[in-house]
Amino acid sequence: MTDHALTIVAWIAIAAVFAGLEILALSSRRRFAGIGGALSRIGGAPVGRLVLALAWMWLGWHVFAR
Amino acid sequence: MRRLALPAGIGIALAVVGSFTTAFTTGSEVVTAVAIAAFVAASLVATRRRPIPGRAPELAGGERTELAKKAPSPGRGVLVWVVAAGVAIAFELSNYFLSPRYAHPTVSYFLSTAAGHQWSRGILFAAWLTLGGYLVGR
Repeated sequence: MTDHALTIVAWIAIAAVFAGLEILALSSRRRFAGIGGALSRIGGAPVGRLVLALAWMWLGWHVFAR
Repeated sequence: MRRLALPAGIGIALAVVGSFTTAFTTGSEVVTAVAIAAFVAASLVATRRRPIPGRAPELAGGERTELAKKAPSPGRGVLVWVVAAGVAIAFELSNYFLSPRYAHPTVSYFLSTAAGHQWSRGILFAAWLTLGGYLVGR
């Protein structure tokens, strides 16, 4: 297996973990935080809100502009 | 519903215009900068309207609502999300510094590929704007 294929498999595994956590959150009737709950929790603090805002801006600029 | 109509309309218009642009051009920079400026403006307005933590909004008679008095419950599993995000970021950085780039693709590689068509670029732009709207509206 090439490095390219191995890296893609690793990315798929990471995406599967994220999807699994979200499914776990949905099936636990929100006793376990989903991605929305985690973002709300992190964004509850001013620093967290700033970090999320900067990450959003960087993502858009990186993907669509540069 | 009517409150969402204007931002949704602006978002759709920006996504359509953004779908016609190409990365590394002035057009793409302008559209993305307009979206970021709108996000910053909306965030500032939302921050000014947001009640001060620990202080419930007052009702007409000077009372405070019971709902607002309650502190938000700690979300179980947030640490798991933070760890998972940390692993993803660490993997992203390790790929970024390894070469050749083709052998170690980063998230940018997938997103650039996904944004290669006009329609997919429009969908990705709309998804990015929706995420921004979610962050503002929390």
